[in-house]
Amino acid sequence: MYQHALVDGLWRRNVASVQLLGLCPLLAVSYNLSNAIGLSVASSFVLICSSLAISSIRKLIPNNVRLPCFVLVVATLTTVVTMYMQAFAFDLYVQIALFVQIIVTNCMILGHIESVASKTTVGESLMTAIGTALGFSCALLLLGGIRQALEPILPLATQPAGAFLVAGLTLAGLNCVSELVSRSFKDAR
Amino acid sequence: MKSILTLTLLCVASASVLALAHVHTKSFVQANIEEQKIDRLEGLVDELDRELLCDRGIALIELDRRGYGGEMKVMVAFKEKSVLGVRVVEHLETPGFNEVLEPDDWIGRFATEDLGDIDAVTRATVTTTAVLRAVEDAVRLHESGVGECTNTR
Repeated sequence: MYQHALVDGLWRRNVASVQLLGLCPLLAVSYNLSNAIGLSVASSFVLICSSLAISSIRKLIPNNVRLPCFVLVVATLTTVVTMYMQAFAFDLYVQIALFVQIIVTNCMILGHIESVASKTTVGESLMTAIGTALGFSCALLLLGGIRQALEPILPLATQPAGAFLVAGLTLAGLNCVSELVSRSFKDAR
Repeated sequence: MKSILTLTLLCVASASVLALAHVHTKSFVQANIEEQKIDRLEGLVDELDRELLCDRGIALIELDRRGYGGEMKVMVAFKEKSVLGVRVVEHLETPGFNEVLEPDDWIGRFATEDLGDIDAVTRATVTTTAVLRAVEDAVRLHESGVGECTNTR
């Protein structure tokens, strides 16, 4: 059942390629691999820790103030991440500071907390969070890698407009693959 | 009642987490920012300690000004009553128009030319005018003794 959460997060319900959530930082930061790694580590940390925190106190949170509580936890963790990045990865921080700060408003994280962490056990919410984080990181690294690799032949790829083009083509490719896979499953049956 | 209590407790908890993280990272962050400032002062001074600079006859005046995109931090260095050079160490000016602030561009002219000979740059009027005004103010401040070496020893 836990593998199920991982497969869902990585592929079937991948936040970036299937649910199309959290695309703003994804597109803005993925012009090279080191930025992509930085943002995916920061987002994963916030996602996993906040879903752990929320799911362990979920029975204490009254329904009518649940959103302020979620945002408070996410904002606290995001601020902690920015502080530590500023202290120990300053060069990276200068590059992607804004996009680390707006992890607070990343709908991928709030969506995960609202639909999973606030409703299930700590273990399951942790596994789902890890799956989601892996899925997001893979998408970010894939995009960052492609854009950095394309730079010598197509400088546009590292520009904002190129982000949309590369992301669109990558999504089309991924959808094509998943279509082929599900079709071959049907044929096999 | 329960919601007030929960929110209050959660706020206290997150404030403590933030305070801990802040105490833990404060000195590192400060060192990084200082280092970045020295980096941006490239070719002007390699030191921010006023006393050490004083020993070399250099006075440093820092002014906060409003540029086109927001606050900028202008630093003016003086040696023997004349401007040694000017750098903008923090700014939010538009990329593509902020190259006037690069040491080998417009802002580098303060090192060699008289203040009166330097005009604002048309395509970056707001930025360069703000820097010019800041330098003029710094000169006035310096003449009135601000940033002057005080002999504390």
